[in-house]
Amino acid sequence: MFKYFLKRIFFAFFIVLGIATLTFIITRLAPGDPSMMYLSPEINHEIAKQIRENYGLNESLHIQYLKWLGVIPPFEGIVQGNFGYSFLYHRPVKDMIMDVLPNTLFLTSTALIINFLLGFLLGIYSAYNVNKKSDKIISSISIALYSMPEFWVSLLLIILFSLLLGWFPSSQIHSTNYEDYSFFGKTFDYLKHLFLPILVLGVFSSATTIKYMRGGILDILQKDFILFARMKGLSEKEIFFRHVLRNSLNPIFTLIGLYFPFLLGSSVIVEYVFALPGIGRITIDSIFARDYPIIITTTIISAFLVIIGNLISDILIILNDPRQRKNFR
Amino acid sequence: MKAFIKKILSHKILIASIVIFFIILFFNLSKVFYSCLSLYFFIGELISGKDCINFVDFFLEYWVATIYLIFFIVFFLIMILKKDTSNNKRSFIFTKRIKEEYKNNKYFRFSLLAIYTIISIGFLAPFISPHDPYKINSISFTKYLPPLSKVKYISFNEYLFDGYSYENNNDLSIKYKSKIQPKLNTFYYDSLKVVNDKIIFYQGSRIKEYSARDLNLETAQVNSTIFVLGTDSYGRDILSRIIYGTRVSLGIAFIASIVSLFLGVLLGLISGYYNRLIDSFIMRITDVFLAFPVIFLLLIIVAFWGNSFIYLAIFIGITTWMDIARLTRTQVITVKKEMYVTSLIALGFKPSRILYKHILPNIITPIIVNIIFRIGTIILMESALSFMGLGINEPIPSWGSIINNGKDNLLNAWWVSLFPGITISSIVLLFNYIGDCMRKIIKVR
Repeated sequence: MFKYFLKRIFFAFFIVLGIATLTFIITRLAPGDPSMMYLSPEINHEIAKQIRENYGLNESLHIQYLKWLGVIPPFEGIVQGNFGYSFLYHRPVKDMIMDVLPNTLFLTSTALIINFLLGFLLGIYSAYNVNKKSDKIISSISIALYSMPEFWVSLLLIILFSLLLGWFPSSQIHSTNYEDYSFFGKTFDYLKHLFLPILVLGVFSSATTIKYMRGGILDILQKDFILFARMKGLSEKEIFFRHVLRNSLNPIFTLIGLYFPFLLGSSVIVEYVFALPGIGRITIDSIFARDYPIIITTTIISAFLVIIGNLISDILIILNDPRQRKNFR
Repeated sequence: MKAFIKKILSHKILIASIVIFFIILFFNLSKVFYSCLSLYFFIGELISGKDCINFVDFFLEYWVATIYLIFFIVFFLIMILKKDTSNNKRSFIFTKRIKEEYKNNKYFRFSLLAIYTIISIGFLAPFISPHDPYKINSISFTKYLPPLSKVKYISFNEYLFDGYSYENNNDLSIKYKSKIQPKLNTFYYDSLKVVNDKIIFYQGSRIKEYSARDLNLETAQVNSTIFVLGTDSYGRDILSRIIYGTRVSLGIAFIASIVSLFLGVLLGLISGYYNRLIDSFIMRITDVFLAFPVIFLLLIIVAFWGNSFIYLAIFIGITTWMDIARLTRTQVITVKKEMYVTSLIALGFKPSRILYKHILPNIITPIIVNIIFRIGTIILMESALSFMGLGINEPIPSWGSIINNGKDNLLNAWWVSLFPGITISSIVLLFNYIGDCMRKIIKVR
């Protein structure tokens, strides 16, 4: 099994490389010269050539690719940990990413936790009240939430909570007088700004979790061993914690791996609407400005997060259900 | 005779839609007539090899709407009048079950009908939209009108100084254009005054003066109009924009899902059927695509390669085939172990024939159900793209871009963003519900 995970990590590097290559191909083969975005057309031809040379855009594509990878010795590429230099902000990409990565990580992980808490509680509740009124209400609300576009929901929440009630700020991650606050004030301010985005990401993605949790528990409740446990005279509580819960968790843990790309994608939209400085926001800005180094770096990071999510979900499945070990060889 | 009438009356939905289509036809008789004529001349010019560029851009939507209208009226009439042959017809078990569900589940019936209505609205948009979704007219007066606001207007046929009107033009395309959509000078106003040879319009706080000589006074029509869902920041009617946006959003969703169905099924069949090398190669590609958050990849591709209608549809298709490929692969692997496939291989049939004729029909149902869920997701994706300004370009309405238009004035003009969002949510909800029902139908088997 350990071997299996080593193999997985080994393959993960290839997947990341594949993604980086794919992004490189998509962005560099696109029509249009990237330097056109930054140079005015009246600029002296010699100077334009010089600038292009500085950015390394004058060479043929495969040389650029190898240089960017860091395979040709004097140039440092992503293999050496050099992600390049942003065209747009004139800063090293690494620094820029490091500034905004914590925000996105905090946003998505908190959303994931809220999602699973809600999904567990409501899923279990509606599975135990199957076909009653409360179950029907929960499922219809969750399917309705699942069908709403996130950006629209964010706008509605902004109308309600920021513009009408004025409880939460509608954009940015800090207040203007952020520096004056004490430590707790700063934390509170941070949470206050992130409350609505987390609400959108967490609550509105929990519909799937509720559905899978409910379905899983209903499946298990029909099994013979539950009937047997009831016959033995175990209490419902014991049956639930000993037999039902662990058996029904596997599909939920598989979902974790799927949620990472989903949440990252949603965070792009949410960060755009709430104007939060995060990975998604930076990616959109750099896509509009054709800032290649940032685009490629953010895709690599998101791919890393996705792969880590998949690994976590596999590990959780094995910890929860040792029978699954034979599948991970 | 009595039995015949009874049989006809049993097709309630068909009759209702025929009646509605006839009403639409009746109110747009001249438009339908002239679009038929223009189509006839277009085909004539096309055959004789002339340059007919002025025809296509304006008339296309009218042609499509006319053909849709006439085709469905004729089709439904035939459906009603033909002899009942459903009993001796060979049909799949899946379609049978869908029919059963259709009879028993009223919500399923309702959602199918709603989808059919929405698709019809999309096709017939030029005939049923109350206003022109592109026309910008006296912005300062008409922008951000709240829902159900009633506005008076006066319209004149466009005046031509050389006494040469559009109707008598030699260029047929211009003639038909003016017949289908007359060129009008429209002025919205609160009140209006005629002083000597000047017409003064009071538009809210603004006053506009026009010399009467500039306007074709003989053709003046005073009337009032209602903006049912209000107007956006350019004074365009939101209801019409939503109606027109149906075509973009649903069109992209359908084409994209067909593209992703095609790609996913093809790759899934190949990787499930052939040896391990090809299989693992395709699966690694799938892994690479799956490790991308879809919206990231889509944003990059669309931003770099263009965002016309067909490009968007294809790009969305290219970025969403992975689930279908995996599903198809697992299905093929399970089916491949069965006896009949082994015997087909033993008989020496070509793999392409086995895959297409024998394996595909057996595994297609869960894939189709998956695709129905996919349509909802694709609509959401497309609207998100349009919302971020990377979808269809601005003057063409799409639900996401209408919401984007209202983003800047949320509190005062809530209706701009609210109604398209409700439209998106309800349509995605309908598709998801249909998908849910289909999934149940499969599980029964």
